[in-house]
Amino acid sequence: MALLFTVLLAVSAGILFYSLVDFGKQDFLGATEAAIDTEIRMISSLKTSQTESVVPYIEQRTKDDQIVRFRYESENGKLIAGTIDPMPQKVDKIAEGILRFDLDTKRGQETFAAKIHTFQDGSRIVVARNIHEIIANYERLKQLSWLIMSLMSAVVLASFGISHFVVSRINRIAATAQNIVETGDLSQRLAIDSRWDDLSNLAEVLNGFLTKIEDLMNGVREISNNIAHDLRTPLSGLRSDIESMKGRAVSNGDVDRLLAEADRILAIFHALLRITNIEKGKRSQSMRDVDLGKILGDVVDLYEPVAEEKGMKININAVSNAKIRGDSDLLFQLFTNLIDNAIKFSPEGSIIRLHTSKSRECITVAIEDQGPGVPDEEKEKVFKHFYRGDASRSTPGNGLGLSLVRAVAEHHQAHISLENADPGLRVRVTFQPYQ
Amino acid sequence: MKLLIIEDDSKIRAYVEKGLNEAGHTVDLAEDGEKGLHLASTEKYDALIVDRMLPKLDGLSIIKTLRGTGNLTGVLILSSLGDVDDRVTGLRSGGDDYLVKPFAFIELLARVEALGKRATSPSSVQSTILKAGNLEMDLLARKVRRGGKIIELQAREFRLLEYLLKFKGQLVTRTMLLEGVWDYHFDPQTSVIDVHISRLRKKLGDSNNTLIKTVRGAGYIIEDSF
Repeated sequence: MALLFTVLLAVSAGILFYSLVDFGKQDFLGATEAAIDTEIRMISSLKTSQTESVVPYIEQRTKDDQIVRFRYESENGKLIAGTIDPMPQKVDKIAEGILRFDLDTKRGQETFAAKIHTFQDGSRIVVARNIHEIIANYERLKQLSWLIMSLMSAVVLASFGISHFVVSRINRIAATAQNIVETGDLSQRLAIDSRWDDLSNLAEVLNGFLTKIEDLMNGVREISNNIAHDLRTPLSGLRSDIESMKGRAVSNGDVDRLLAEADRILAIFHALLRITNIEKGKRSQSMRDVDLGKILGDVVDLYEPVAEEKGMKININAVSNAKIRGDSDLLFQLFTNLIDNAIKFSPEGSIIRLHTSKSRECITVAIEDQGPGVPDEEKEKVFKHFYRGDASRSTPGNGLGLSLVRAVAEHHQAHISLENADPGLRVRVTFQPYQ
Repeated sequence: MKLLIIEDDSKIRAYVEKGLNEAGHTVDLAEDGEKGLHLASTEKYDALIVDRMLPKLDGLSIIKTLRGTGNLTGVLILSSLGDVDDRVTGLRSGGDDYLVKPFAFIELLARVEALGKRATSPSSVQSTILKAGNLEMDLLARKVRRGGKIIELQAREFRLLEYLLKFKGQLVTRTMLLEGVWDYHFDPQTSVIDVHISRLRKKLGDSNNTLIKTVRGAGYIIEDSF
């Protein structure tokens, strides 16, 4: 490919150069020769009719036209008329029948092209035309041609280099991609040899793309792994419970227990599907402007009795008109999950604080408890599906609560962060206000 | 009650039919949309149980057609599509309630009976005084009396009791309470409803759970005469 491109470019450069040079030559010789031939024909016709009119004609022409000069000489070389006298010493031949020599002019020595015609009586006429201008033009043209030619050569060379470079890089990218397709190994990356060209940019973008795919694939793999693992436990529990009922009378209580176990497994699937759907952003049509204050009030209203059972209090501090664009059911779910966690992990008699603040750029809801908090190294992990920190192993739950929280937050372009409240945990959810 | 089940899954059809028969209801069956629409528009039913995805004619089209002809029979939609958006489309097309598969039979029963109840006592003639035994609830004055003694309830407790009394004699499930009293569709993590109920019981002086009875694994019921 690279070679073909370069060859095409080189051929076109060659053709351009040849035609430039050839055109100049043709023009310069052709026009001059034609003019000289006309003069000769004119003089010949004069000579055949009346001999004496040749001399006046030559004198007349010489006076009229500075470009043309004549030498009319007799058989033995004696000048009869004309201004070329004597014949210059140095005479070159440009082409067949055309001579070239220098003559003195007002502007110094200038080049002339000439033709010699011998009449039947032996006398000769030399007709010369000044070709100084034409030659100068021709030279300029030639220089220009050379310049173009050398530029073209440079372009040819550069294009060869670039196309070779580009094509080989593209081939390498293709080879790597092919390799990834064949082996399914997403850890491979495209080589980046430089930083300045567009191809490196492309390679970098593609590498980013690969990293993203790899992350997603790993995430999916991890999740399906976890699902398999986390569902096996309750399922095997269910199985052993059913097995233990074999061969004995089954009471209603037994059936209720089995149903509760099955329901728990179904609830896990339900939660997973829900998270997936939220992450897919499938519900964006249910976004309307909602008042966070009202939702928070309803959450507290729902959970206050639960907190009171543990001797805890929920302090709420709300701001007015905390409007955002969102889905109230999902937001309600988000805050109930957070409050539920806070109640679950806080000691009896402690206080849970719900603090809302509003600025021009954001609305922040902070939920602060006095529980054990989350160690720094677990702060990212707690959002993962099925992850359960050491503190939560003994509490009920399926490890999907915070995954759902994060999915809902991302669905609302909200940022969620965990901070140490010393003691306890502060969960900060930052929303963009709705204008 | 006379009920119609339009459901193509024979297993679910048989299971729901058996359960409803045991609960004392008469049940007609249709296994595809066309037959279901035919039955629903020629017979008089107290409530319909309609699957969303059906052969020949889908559930939502059946409901739309029925509503278009002025048939206002209560409809419970059954579906494996459980998103809020799906629920909203279901309810918008004229369904009265929406139940996501897989479901507990008791949940279905409670909801169907609630639908039937709504049909027999239209809101226009609903009284503003709800009664059960010695408990009396005045919806206009927002007062609750038990044995003549006034009981102070918070707004949410009032709505909770009102919901239970409206469906007195019927099982009310926890999700029905969440949807009916709190107006949010969400999955509670712990049994928040139970806490609210136990609070309400305390205020009502219902110490041995005789007024608001717990139905294990299902929900709550206020018996007509306790």
